Amino acid sequence: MSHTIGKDKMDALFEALSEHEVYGPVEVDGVWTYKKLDSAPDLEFGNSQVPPKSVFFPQTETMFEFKRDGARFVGAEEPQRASKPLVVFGVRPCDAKAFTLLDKLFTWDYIDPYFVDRRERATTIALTCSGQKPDENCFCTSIEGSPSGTEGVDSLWTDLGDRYFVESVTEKGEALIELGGNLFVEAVSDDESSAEEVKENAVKAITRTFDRAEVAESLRCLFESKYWEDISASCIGCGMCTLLCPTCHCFDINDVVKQGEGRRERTWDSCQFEYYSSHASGHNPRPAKRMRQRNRMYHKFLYIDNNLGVIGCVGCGRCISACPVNIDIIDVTEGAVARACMEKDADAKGEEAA
Amino acid sequence: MTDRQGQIQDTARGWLESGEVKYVVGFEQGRRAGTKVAFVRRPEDADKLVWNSMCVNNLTLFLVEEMQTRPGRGEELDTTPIGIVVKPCDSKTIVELMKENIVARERVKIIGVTCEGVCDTKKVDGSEKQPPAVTDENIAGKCLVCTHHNPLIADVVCGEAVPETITDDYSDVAELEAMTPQERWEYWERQLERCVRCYGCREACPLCYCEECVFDREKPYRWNEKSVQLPENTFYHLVRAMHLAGRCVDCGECERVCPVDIPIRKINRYLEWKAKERYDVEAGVDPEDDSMFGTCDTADPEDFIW
Ligand code: SF4
Ligand code: SF4
Ligand code: SF4
Ligand code: SF4
Repeated sequence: MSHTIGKDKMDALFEALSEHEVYGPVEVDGVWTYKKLDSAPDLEFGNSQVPPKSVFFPQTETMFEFKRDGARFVGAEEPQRASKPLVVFGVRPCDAKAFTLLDKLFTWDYIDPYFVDRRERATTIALTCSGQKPDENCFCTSIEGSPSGTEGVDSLWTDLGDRYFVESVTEKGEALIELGGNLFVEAVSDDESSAEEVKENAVKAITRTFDRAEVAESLRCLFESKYWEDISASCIGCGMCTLLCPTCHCFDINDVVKQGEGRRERTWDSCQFEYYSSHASGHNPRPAKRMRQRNRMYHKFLYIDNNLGVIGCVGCGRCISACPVNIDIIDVTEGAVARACMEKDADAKGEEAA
Repeated sequence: MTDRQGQIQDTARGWLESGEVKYVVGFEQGRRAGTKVAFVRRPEDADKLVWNSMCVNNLTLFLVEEMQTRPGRGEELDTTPIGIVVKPCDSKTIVELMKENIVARERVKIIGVTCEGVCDTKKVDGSEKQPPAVTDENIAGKCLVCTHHNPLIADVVCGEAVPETITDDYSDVAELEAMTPQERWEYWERQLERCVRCYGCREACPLCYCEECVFDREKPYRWNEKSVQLPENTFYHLVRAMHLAGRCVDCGECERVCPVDIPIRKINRYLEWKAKERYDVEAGVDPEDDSMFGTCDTADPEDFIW
C-alpha cells in the first residue's frame, strides 16, 4: 500500500526518529554530501558530489585501537559500535542500486563487519529523480536502472510538490510507515497517477544512452592495444572518477600511531593513483596511466562481473561530470567496441595478405 | 575567436608538415560545450583544433609530462620539440618552468593566444551545447584580476594584442586578511573539511611536478596520514601552499578541477600578493628572474616570523 507525507510533516518525522541515527544530503557552500543530521532532511537537491556510499563505508574509518607497551603494541580493541537503527534519506535510485553491489562485495570472500553492521541496521529511503535530476550525464536506464528504481531501496519517495508519495518496497519500508503513524496518510489514486507522471518525466529527461552489449567481449581482446594510450593521454591521474563513484570500493589500510596510542584505519583508495599498485619492494606493476585507465574499465566491466555477477557502474554520471579533462566512460567503452572491431578487421586483412 | 582558431590550426599544420614538432597539444571540441585535450600528430588533423571560451585547461601539464618522460631500455630520448597551445596565463607557467630548469626552451614550440578571458566551467550549464560567450556572470575568477592578456613567451602569437586595463589590488583576498585569526581558521576549516583528497589540485597543477610527492611518500616515514580528516587535509593544503609560494602563476587549474569547490585560488592569491609585497617577486614573467626560494637576501623582511 502507498502513502503520502506532507513536506510540513518532515520535522515531526525527524522527531519520531529520535531513536535512530539519521543521515541525509547536506549542503555546505553549494556542495552536497551525506552526513548525520540534527534536523529534518532537505531533499531539494540534484545529487550529491560525494556519493552516499560514505554512510556505510566512510572515507576514513577506525577499525580498531591499540596502545604501545614498551616495544609491543597491545590491547587491540574494536571501537564501540552504535546499535541504533539507521535511516538514510534522499538517496538517488542509482546510488541505492550501488549499495547492492557493495553488499555483494563486502560479503563475498569475507564478511566485512563494519559495512555489514551498518547496512543491517539501515533503512534506505530513495528519492525519485525530479527537478535538477536527471541531468545531462545520467544514464541509469542503460544499466537496467531507473530514476525511480527500487533496487537497494526500502522506501521510495516521489516529490509531488507539497508532499511525497511513499511506496514501501521492503518490510523495513513498512516499518517506517508504522513508526511515522499518522504523519503518513493513505495515498489516493490521484497521488498515484501524479507520481507516475513524475517517474515518466524523469525517464524522458535522460538523454544519454550506453550500448554495452559488446563491451565485455571487446575489452577482452584489447588488453595490449594502443587504445589505452590514446584514451589516457589526457588523464591527469587524479582520483575523482573513482573516489566519487558510488560503486568503487577500494581501500587502503594504515596504522596511525601517535604518542603510544594507535589506530588501524582504512581509507578510500583509487586505482588511478600511481602509488595504489606500488609494492613494498618498490616495483609497480601498473606504472603507466594507460594501464591504470585500462584497469578501471576492466574492473568495472569484466572483473566485478566475473566475481559478483554485476557490472561496476550504475550510470550516475559523476565520473563524467567531475573529470577535469572530460574523459567520458561511455565514450571510452563504446570506443573500445569500435576499436576492437577495427583491430579485428586489420588482423584479418593482415592474415589474408600473408 | 575564429580568427585565432584559424591561426592556431595553420601554425600547427605547418609545424607538423615540416616535422619541426612531433605533436601539438591543443584543444578539441568535446561532446557538448566543454573542450577536450587534443594531441595532434598528423597535419591533416590540425583542423580539429578549436579556440573558444571553454579552452580552460592549462596544457603545459603535458609539456612537463613530455620533459619527464624517460626513454625505454635501449631507446634514445627523442628530443624533437612538441608544439603547445597556451593562453597568456599558461605561458607564464612555461616561464616559471624554464626558471626551474624543468622545461628546456628548445624542446617546445609555443602557440600563444591573446586572450580576453575564458569561462568558469562551473558556471556554465553542463547541458549547454555550444561554448557560450564570456559574460560578467560566467567569467573565470582569475580573468577578473588578470594583468597579462598577451603571451609572455611564444613562437607564434595568434590574435590581436589585447590592451591591459586591469590593476590588481588583491582586494579579493584582502577580505581574508581582514578576518581575525579565529574567523580565518573557521573559514578554512569549513572549506577543508570536505576535501576528499583526490589530489586533483596537485595533479592539475603544472608546477606540482615532483616525481615523488611528499604526500605519496612512505619511506623513510610518512609525513601525512592517509586519513581524510580535517587535520590531515589542512596539512596537505598548507604544505602545497608553501611549495607554491612565489611560484604559482594563478592559472587557476587547482580550483577549477576541485570536485567539491574548495576555493584554493584564495590561498595561492594570498601568497602571490605577499611574495610581491615582501620580496618584489612576480612568478612567470621573466625566465631570467631568480626564484624566490632560491634566493637569500639579508634585507628580506622577517616581520612575519615570530
Ligand atoms: S542516474 Fe540520474 S536519473 Fe538515474 S537514478 Fe541516478 S540521478 Fe536519477
Ligand atoms: S563509473 Fe561513473 S557513471 Fe558509473 S557509477 Fe561510477 S561514477 Fe557513476
Ligand atoms: S587569466 Fe588572463 S590570460 Fe588567463 S584565461 Fe583569463 S584573461 Fe586569459
Ligand atoms: S581537488 Fe579539491 S577535493 Fe581534491 S584534493 Fe584538491 S582540494 Fe581536495
